[in-house]
Amino acid sequence: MSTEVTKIEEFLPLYDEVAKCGKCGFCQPTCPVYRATGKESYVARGKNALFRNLIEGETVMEADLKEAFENCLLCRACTANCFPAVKTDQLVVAFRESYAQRFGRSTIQRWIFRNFLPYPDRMARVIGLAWLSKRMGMADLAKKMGIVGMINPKLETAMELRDEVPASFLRDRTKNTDLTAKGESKYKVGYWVSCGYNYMLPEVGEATINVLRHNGADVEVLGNNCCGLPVYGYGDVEGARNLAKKNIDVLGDLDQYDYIVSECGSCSGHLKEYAELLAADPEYSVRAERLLSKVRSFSELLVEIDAEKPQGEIQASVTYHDPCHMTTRYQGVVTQPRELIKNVPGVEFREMTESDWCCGAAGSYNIMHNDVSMKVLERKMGNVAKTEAEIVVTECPSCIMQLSLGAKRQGMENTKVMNVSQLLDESYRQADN
Amino acid sequence: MIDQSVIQELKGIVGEDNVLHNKADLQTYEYDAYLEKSLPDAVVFVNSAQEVSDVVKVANRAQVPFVARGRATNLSGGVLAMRQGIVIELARMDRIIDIDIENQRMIVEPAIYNLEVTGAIDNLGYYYAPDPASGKACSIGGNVGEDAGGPHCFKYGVTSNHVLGMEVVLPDGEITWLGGKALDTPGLDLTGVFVGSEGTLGIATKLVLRILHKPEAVKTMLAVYDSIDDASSSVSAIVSHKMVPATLEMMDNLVIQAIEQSMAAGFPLDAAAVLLIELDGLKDGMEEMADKIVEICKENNVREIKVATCEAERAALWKGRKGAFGAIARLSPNYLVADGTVPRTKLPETLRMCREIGDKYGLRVANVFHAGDGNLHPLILFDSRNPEDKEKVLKAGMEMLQVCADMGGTVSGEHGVGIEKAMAMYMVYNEKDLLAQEWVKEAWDPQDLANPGKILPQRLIKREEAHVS
Repeated sequence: MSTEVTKIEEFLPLYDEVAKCGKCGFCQPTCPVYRATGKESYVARGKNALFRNLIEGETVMEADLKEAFENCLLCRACTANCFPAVKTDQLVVAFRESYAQRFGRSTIQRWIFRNFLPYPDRMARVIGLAWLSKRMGMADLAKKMGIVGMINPKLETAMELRDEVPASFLRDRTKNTDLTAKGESKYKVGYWVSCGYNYMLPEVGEATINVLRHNGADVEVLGNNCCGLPVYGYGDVEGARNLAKKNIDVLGDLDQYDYIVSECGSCSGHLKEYAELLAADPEYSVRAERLLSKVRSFSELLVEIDAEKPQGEIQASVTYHDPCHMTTRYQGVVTQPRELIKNVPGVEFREMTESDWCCGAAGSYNIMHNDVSMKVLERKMGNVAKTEAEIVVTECPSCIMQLSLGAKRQGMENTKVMNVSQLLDESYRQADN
Repeated sequence: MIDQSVIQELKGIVGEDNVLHNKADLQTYEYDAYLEKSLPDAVVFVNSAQEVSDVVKVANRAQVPFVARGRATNLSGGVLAMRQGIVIELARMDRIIDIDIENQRMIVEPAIYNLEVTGAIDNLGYYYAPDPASGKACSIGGNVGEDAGGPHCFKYGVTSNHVLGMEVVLPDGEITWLGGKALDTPGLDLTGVFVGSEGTLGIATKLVLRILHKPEAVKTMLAVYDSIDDASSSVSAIVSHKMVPATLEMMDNLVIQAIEQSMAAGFPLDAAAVLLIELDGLKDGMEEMADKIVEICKENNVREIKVATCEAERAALWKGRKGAFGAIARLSPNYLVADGTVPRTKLPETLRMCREIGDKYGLRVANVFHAGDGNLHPLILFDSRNPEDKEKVLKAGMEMLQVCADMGGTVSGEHGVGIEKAMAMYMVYNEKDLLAQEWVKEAWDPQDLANPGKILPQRLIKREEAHVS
């Protein structure tokens, strides 16, 4: 064979990492995508083999490989179950970065990462228009006429994910409202605005702010941009670094806050990884370390400050779904949300099998790879159904939307999906009434 | 390369999306957990015995070899497509067909994970006994192919003692049943012939398993030794006192180091060896048996003996043992495991000789093994990025198997022969023995299409000659 062989030089720093894979196959049973498809190229062992082949010149960077590396949720279940703990998620991101550098990104993706996500005003205007058209039935009309499908078939899927769209964004809702502590002021908390809650589920953010105020926090709604996780996940590492730096600049003097909190597990998790992302930057790495000391996920903070035990009774059976970025595979906030749930009077907590198994949302994976995502979701909903719980609690907007869709698809119309903060808020309110 | 028309025929059977044939996909089916690679021509996802049969018939018509594959965790090259052709991917056939508690039987499809069989009947008070350390990741179909063992096989026997019947697709595509739910069927024991045949006699599509009551009581102990010889003599002493623990597992210092780095199972880092001893059975008499074992270990210079006091402690000890192979990756990227078996009394001497072979080649050797049945697993450490190392490792592995054979043992305990140990068959069989096995293969698969080039050395050689020409 005289195929021209190009070794992928930029992967060489990861050679030691990938060489650790002994092909034992222990990643298979724990990989949600592999369990849904049975395809070896979708599991860590297959990706490791291909990645190593790229380094050793046994294969070339080509379109056929893209599918393998696209089909990863970055849930890290493989690494957690791997004896040498091969960091396959890093290989996946490296591949995505290198692939895009060689073959380019779609215009729309490039525009979103570089000209949209870093500009909250633009985002608000465009998403506002989209929601407006959906509310006015224009989206339906456009869909019926096949216009949406013509623009981008994935958009149709995206629109189906959300039946109701919010009338206003969280940022607008929190303007001109009282954000000071109820009762004695004990902490100054910077509330990180996650895109998911801002544009899709503003009611969650309101509940979170209420719970924080209830516990003596003077809340400041931060002027942050997207945390950059989606950009990183697509392998635009440079774009993710830019967003991280921009956010660090926006937050300014961190000493003014006791804590920075997000009830989005992906945001809080990714903020904690800024320091690693910016490690090579002498100035920003220091500031990222400082940020790391301030950032808490919602549940983590509430347990740390010994939040007031809610008194309002909620008679319901509740189960908890661990968002990937909350598990020990990322920030390791696992006991705290459970503790908070169990503290609510009347709640009967039911642990679910595979509670930390990815729901298949994984940012926009559910849009780009809808078929596989729905199979991953089926497994999750099967485990939810087995608990017969009335409420599924979690701490991530992506998971909330995916699980809500799952409940709808499985005919579990009475199963409510909510954030930890919403459950607490409801209990506090009941006690107040 | 196989003909495009064959690919089209396969797509006609299982659908367009269920046939993979681009290079990127194929490269993820060119390996298993052994050290070699061989690129197949196509991978076909099947979902029923009928589909398997149809695919096999196409292979017959086109005279293309085929090999069944499930989770591909096997260690001897069993699922490598050595003469290219079609990989029949069974990964999606992982359903439970029947749980028959009254008769203590279960019928499953081949790709179900070993541990999930027990998982499905655990709450009913039953389990499936053969427990390869890879139980979480390996499939029952693979266990049948390799006649897999595991720690508890010392007391309960290997896979062939627990698989009573199966639906198989023969190498010409005919679907038939071997054995059944009964313990014995009239005539020749064809089930027995099929178990351990590594896919060379056909493809199993349903398996009848014997399931057992969970034991009333379990006791797990960790005995720590300052010398491997003392640990080995403890094993012999326990057995010669007519005691049959469920497991007698030994790990040497290098393995202990690896496990502790990987998962902190609580094994002392400075021990020369540890023995993991588990008793199971009736509650009555268990304490006495445990006391007796402690006494025997003390007589054999045990440094310390810990008894797990709760399920969590027991689980921690087992997690260490079950993760041992994987943990080796902490020491070195790759390993070859020489799966030989010797009479128990020869353990200390064999271990010493294996170490000497390692020293000769400048290779580190770690040991974790089923001491109870004398099944060694010297793990020879190396880095596959260095081709010279790989050559040395393969030689060292063969020499270790020769030592096992010379000691009156054999060359394969539970990992199958595959391509790894085909030449080692000469160490334990003469030409006539091998000819008898050739006849069996001839009778089942006259066209030599089912996983060709495996187990029998003549067939391996044929393959290598074919490559040279």
